[in-house]
Amino acid sequence: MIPSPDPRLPESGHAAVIAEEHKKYFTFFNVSIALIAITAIELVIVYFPINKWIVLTALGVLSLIKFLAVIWWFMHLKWDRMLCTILFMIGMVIAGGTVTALMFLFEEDPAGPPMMFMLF
Amino acid sequence: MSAHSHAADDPHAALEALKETSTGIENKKLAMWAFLASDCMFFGTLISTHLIYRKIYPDIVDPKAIFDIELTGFSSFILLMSSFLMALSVSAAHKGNIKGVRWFLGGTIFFGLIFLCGQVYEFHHFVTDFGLTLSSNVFGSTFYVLTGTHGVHVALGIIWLGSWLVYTFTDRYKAEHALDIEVAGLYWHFVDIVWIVIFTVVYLVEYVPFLT
Repeated sequence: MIPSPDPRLPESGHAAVIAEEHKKYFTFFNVSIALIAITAIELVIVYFPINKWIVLTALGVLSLIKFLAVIWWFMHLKWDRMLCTILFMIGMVIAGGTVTALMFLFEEDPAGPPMMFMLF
Repeated sequence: MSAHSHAADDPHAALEALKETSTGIENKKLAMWAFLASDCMFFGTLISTHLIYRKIYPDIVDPKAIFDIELTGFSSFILLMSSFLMALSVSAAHKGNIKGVRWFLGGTIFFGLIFLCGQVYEFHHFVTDFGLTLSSNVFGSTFYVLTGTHGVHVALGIIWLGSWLVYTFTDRYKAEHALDIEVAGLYWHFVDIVWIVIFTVVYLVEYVPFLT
């Protein structure tokens, strides 16, 4: 037997969505502030007279954090089904693999270390 | 009870009805994620092409002499802010707050236009002051193709979001269209993450000290 519809369900469902979205507002605000702060750090860190590998590593890590923050919160992967994350990561892995393969392919000395580890 | 029966009364139920697929994900959203995954590969090849030719021909151009990192940094802030407003726009659409959707979409488009103006100014500066064109050398070719392709993505995003902004002023806009705003938002955020990568690997690494 099909249960009779609860007349309060639409309202309560919509109210729940509004409450959830209200919480997301603060999350989005905090993420955006963090993204601005990280970008500011990136702009400053390149002028630091320290070992280039430290700077390059820091830039890579900070960019990765920004990248992940945007896809996780702004692009709703945190709240969406895992399939969306898997689908996007398949593209990312293939893209990353292509970049790595090209770096090896165009290596001046194929027997030497990969170019991506000795850029510039 | 089927979500369809609520769809006419409740915007949340209307959106939930769209999830009744074999994957549990709205078809439009799934298609957009598949497209973004393929676009990752597209930008991956463009970025690696630029990096490879920077390595093979390091002395063709001194990027530090022509780049304006203050302008590019400002553009990055602008694009991040547009992404924030886009997230708020999607949130407002899910809440059924049509005024909020209009304001936030308008803000996103405004910041997107500022970013594009910055890019046009940068390209104009490079061409007129440094003679760097698409065909002047391999650095110009890879740089303009990479950043230009990203700029075209931004321009298409602005047109897409602009069309939705106009649509919200018509009687045809319904609560279910929150999904369409969300899908357009996914595209816009993707443009943002591509810029995050370009900003680092094309611009910032050139400023790292002691690079020869």
